[in-house]
Amino acid sequence: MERLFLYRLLKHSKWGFAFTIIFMLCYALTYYKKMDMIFFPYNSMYAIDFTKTESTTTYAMKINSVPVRITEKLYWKKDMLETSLNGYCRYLKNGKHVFLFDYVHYRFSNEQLQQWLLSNLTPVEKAVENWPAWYAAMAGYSIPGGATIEFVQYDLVLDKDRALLKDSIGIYKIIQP
Amino acid sequence: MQFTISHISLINKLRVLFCVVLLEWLLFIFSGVSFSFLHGNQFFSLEVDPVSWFFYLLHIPQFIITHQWISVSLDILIVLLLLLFIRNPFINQIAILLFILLLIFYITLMSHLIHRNYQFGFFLVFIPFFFHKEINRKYAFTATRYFLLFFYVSAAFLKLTNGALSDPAHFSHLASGQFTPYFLEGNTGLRTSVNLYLVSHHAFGYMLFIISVILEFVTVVGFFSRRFDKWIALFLLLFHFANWFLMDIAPIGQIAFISLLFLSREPGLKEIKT
Repeated sequence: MERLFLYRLLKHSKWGFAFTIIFMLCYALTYYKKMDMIFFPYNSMYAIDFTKTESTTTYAMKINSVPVRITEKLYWKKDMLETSLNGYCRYLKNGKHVFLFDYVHYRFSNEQLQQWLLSNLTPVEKAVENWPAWYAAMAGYSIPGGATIEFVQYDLVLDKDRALLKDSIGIYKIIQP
Repeated sequence: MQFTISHISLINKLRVLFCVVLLEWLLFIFSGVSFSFLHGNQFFSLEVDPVSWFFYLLHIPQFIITHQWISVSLDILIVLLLLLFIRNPFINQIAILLFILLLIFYITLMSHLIHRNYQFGFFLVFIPFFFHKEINRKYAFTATRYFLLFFYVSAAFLKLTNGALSDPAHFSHLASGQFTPYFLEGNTGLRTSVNLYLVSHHAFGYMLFIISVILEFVTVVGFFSRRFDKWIALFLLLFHFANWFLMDIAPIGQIAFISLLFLSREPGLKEIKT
C-alpha cells in the first residue's frame, strides 16, 4: 500500500486525496459521456479516421477575386487563419449557426434554458458581420469600400505526385459597404 | 535563509523551464494570436466543454476581447509575471495567477480558432508550484507527472481500442488533410512532398503511425519508475517535432510541460516514499 501514490496522498492530505479522486471521477465521466473537456483533450486525437479517403476540403476568402494567402504566416497565425475560416464557412453553410446552436437544441428541452445558454455561449449574428474585415486585417489585407468578398470551398484529391483540385464552390458573397 | 547547492541547482533548472514558457508565450504574441490580437474578433464557437462554458457564462473571454486596453494589459501582465516567476519560481501566488490567466487565454484562443488545438501544457506546467510548502509541492508534482504520463498513454490506448492500427491506410487518410491550404496556394516544398508521399504510400504511413503509437505508449514505463523520465521526455519531444514536420502541428505550448519530466528526479520535487 505504501507504494501507491493515492495511499500516500491520503496519509498526507485528505483534501488533496479528495480533490484527486474527484478529478479522476470527472475524467472517467467525461470519457464515458464522450465529452471533450478542456483538461482532458488530445486522447482521441487521430484515433478515428472520419473521412476514409484521400480527398480533402478547405476554404478561402477572396477580396475582389484575389485569394487571401495564409500559409506564409507564423505557425499560430496560420493556424488561426485556417481553422477560424473553416469554422466561419461552416457557420455560413449551417444557416449562420455555430455547432452549439444545434447541440443545445438537441440536448436541452427547456426553452428558457436554451435561450439563456445560446445567448451566452454563441456569438451574436449582428456582431459576426464584421468578422470578414477582422479576418482580412489579421491576414494583412485591407478591404476597400465597395469591395466584393467571397468565401469559396475547395475540394482536393491527393494523387501520387500532386494535389488535384476536384471542385470549387462559392458559398457566400458580400459587397463591403 | 541558507540555500543548499541542490536547492540552487533546482531553482536554476526551474528558471530554464519557465524561460521556455516565456518563449512559448512570446511566440503567441509575435505570431499575432495573443489577447490583444484577438480584440474585435466577435466570432467564436465552443465545443461541448463545461470548463469553457463556465468562463463564457461569466463573460470573461467576451469582456477581455471587447476591451482593447484590457487585452493589451493582460498580454503585458503575463510577460511581467513570467519574468517575476523566473526570478523566483517558488512564489506560489504568481503560479496560481499565471495558471488562471493562461487557462483563460487557452479557452479564448480555442473558441476563436474554432478548433481544438492540443498544445495546452503551458498552463498545466504551473500546477506543482501552486503550493508554498515543499512537501505539498512534491505531491502536486507527482500528481501532475502522473497526469502527463496518462495523457499520452491514454492517447496510445485509444488508438489501439479504436482499431486505428487495423487499417493500413489510416495514417494516409489523416495526413491528406494536413497541408491542404499549402497545396491550394501553391506554397509547396519538402514537407508537402513528404505529405504526398505519405498519402500515396500507405505502408510507409502505417509504419510511421505504429512508431508514433509506440512513442506515446512508452510513457507507461513512467508509472513504474522515474529512472527513464528523461528518455520519455526525449521520445515525446521527438514525437511532437515529427508531428510538426509531417502533420503541421507545432508543439508550441507543450514543450515546457513535457520538460517537467527532466526534473522529476530533483530532490526538491521528488516526493520521498516513507
